[in-house]
Amino acid sequence: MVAVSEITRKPTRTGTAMALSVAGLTTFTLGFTTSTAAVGGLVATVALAAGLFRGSRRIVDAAGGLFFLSLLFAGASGAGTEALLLTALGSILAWDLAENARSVGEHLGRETDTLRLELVHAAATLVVLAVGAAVVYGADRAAAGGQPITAVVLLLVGVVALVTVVTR
Amino acid sequence: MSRGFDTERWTGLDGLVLVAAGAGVFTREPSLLLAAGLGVVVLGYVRVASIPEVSLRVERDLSDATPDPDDEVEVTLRVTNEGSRTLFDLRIVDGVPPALGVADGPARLGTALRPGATATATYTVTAVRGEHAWDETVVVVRDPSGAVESRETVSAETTLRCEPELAATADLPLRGLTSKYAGRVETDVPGSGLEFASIREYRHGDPIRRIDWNRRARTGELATVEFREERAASVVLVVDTRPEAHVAPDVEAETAVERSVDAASVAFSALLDSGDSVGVAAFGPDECWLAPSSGADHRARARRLFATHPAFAPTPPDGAFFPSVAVRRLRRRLASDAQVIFCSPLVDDYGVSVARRLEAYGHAVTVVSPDPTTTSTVGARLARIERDLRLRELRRSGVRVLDWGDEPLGVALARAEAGWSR
Repeated sequence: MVAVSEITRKPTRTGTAMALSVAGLTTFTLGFTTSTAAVGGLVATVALAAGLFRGSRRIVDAAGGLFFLSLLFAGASGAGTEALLLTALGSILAWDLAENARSVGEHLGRETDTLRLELVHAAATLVVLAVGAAVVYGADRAAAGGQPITAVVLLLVGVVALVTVVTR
Repeated sequence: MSRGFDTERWTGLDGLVLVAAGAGVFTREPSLLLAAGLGVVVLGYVRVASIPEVSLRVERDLSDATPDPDDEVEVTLRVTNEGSRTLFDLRIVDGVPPALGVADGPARLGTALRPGATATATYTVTAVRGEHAWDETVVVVRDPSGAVESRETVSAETTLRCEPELAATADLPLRGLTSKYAGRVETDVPGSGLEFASIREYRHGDPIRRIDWNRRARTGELATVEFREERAASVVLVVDTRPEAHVAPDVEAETAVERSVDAASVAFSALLDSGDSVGVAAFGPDECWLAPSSGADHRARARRLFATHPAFAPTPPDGAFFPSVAVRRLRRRLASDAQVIFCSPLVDDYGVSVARRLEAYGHAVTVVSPDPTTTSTVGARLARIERDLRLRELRRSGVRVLDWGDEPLGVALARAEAGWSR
């Protein structure tokens, strides 16, 4: 037999770098809400880095959960709409990039040039999230004003109906 | 449109969306509801995810389709999207033949492809003896969100054929068993030849050139000088290709089968050059038999056989094997005056018994045994001792044994020849 170049089945460097930068930016955005949420974001970023280092899907998912909790806390303590939407966008993007880096690394290994693949993936997710955030924000602006509680409850029912239809 | 299978990547997002929406209502914070709204958008994006019909063309170019052993061959893999839709997430793993090692650059490719576009991956493999066909290329396609995935295989037939030149780098001395034809093996049969053998009484009809005139002058009697007759041998090279023989001292080293085949091809060429008729046989699950013969055609046939016959492949065979049947078949095929050169690492007792049985049937057996053992662990040392004992047992029963360690075959031969009797 001859010397064989081994495959390193770890998250790709490109994806890791992109995911961690987005996670850092998200933490920065969380800094504009409350300090507790910012600390939560920091912990989530560290967890994401650990998950990417270990190549573990579970830790990456846990980091996503931590981002969500920070976001929930920031929202509950009255964060601004813009900051919260940006945080939500950043959290989803960071988790998505990290998970994608892990899956690409598992399939193709670290040695393969996957820049194009990951850039396209990141761009697709970013576009969808940006458009989604813009639509949601626009709807909010359009319907500005104090909603009565019945409207809020109806909105909730609407969200539930949407989720069930969409995830059917 | 094929739906593929669900990667379960986004599982749980719906729950998070509901929690966020619930929290938003509970705390009367519209911002949380907006975040939930963003989540719903993502859910919708995941929901519409699907994979278009994948239609890919794979082409493979080798920088040299018939390289020499240990040459580096550059492989260029070209993948073209022949479908009408863009493939956003394309992961390709090329089916490199198992015996070839990828020396440089991964045989993998990850990219996004527009319709009609082509992506290229280049990697290098190190050629080893044999005929190697590429397996199917595995393609994993995901939709842009990564929610659905499908796996396909695309095949492009590519074969790399590596046939080493048969080089007579070492001269393997044969034992005394010969055929009736003239050749270069010195026998104990007195007759015409070069090396002095004996003097006997003159018989009517002996050639005048062979009469010992000195003796005639001294004693007045006629006597005839006899020389050792030189004859050609008929040799069959038997290579042990059983799964047991596919052993190597470490992962990157050559297996004993590869070294055996090397030794056999060197011996083949040397013996053919010296006028003997040589045949080839494999002792293993894959049948291989080339009857002893000589000539340029025969050399070409053997070269192809050593290079491309599946029996001599560098990867272990997986068929069923019945050794006693194989020994019987080999015996039937061997002419009674055929010598046997048996190339085997002798890592189990069966190899020894094969050599002894052939020797007992009257085929002068020479064993060429590449040494695959190491001294790294206690178990490995034990295996080495066991092998040494096997070699000793063979030598005791009259079989000529060449223990071939790390050195070149010629060096091992020179060392071993000193201890061999004719």
